Amino acid sequence: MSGLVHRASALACPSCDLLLAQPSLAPGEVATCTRCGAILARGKGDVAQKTFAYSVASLILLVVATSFPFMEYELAGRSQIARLSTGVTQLYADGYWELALIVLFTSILAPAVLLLSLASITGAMLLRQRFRWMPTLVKLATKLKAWSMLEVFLLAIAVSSIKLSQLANIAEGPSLYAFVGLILTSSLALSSFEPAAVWRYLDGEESR
Amino acid sequence: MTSARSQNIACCHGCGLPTEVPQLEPNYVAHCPRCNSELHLRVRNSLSRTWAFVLAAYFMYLPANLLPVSTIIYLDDGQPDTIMSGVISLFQKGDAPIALVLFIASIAVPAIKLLILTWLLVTVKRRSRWKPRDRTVLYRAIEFIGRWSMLDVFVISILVALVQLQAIATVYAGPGAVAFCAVVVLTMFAAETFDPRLMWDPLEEDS
Repeated sequence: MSGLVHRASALACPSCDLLLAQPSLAPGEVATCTRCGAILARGKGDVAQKTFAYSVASLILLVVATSFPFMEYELAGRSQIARLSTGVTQLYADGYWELALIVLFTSILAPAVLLLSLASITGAMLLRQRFRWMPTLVKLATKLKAWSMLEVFLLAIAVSSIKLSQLANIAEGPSLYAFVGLILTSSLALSSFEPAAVWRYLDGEESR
Repeated sequence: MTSARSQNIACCHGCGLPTEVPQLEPNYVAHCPRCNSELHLRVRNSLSRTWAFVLAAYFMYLPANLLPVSTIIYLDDGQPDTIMSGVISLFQKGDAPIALVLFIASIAVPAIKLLILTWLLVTVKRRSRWKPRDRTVLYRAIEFIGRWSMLDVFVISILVALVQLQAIATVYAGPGAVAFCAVVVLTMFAAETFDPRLMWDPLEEDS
């Protein structure tokens, strides 16, 4: 581990490996690779404060979205209430545990762990602390980003309501509003977060 | 234009820190001084691992499209739907926009993604120097759209959750849904293990 020379002043494009100098960006500025056009970095201003606020708001909305009925389906005087997790339990009960697992992971677990990681990393930054678990959580958050599919789930809600609207009455439950809010705050949390800023902070630089 | 690789600089895949790695002896692995991830100049065995995921996805593509993904039973009447028959029946009922969304997400995107990945793998294998920038943009595009193919899996899970009125209407998932979900997950893994920097390496040798 020791003895390796690292170059924090350099940057290699993750798409084409071109070696470039680390840019210093004002908020709103974007650095793109001169060879392949990939976005290398975005100037985001105060990463910690914004990401912390948005991810805590998202976590609250996620708890609300998972604890109340989501949609109600009514047909011939009989009705059925579904929660966010009902699909998972029903698929599992029908013997499709693989589907239940993937749906549980991509629509509940991955977003929850991702938002918890963002909140604890940026919370620690606001408290000016450097904990040993922070590098692990930054790497975990980077990996989970691709597997958190809340916005795909929202489109699926729209598609299934249209599919069912010919068969029966669909009514929205309180969770649906929380879920729409969650899409908004969690995408704001993700777009205001920048792993590079956390690494700079952990390296000892001031975050501002 | 110099690449990090030509300077023996490995970019950490965990934190992005560029680090000079010594000419490694076998069985010796360098670790990132900042986050302790293993350092490699390129994703290890990127081509063979990506091929494995792509071939497995092709294999699952057939049952995903031939087996029923869901069955809607309404007043004791109903038949199993495959992905395609579901799209067609939505189209006939007059829901053309939704049918189109489902067609793009469930049929077009997985097929196009698999074909593009296969083509990229072949060009890397042949050390092609043809338009690396366009190929990189194409790679980033399929990496970005892949997640939207999960749409049908979520629709099935929502329908199964909502429609459980035993005597009147019930929705069941079908085995095709498992195969389809496998295609989506496998192509996401394939896109993750494919290293786009391999497309740029042949250009270095020219200069």
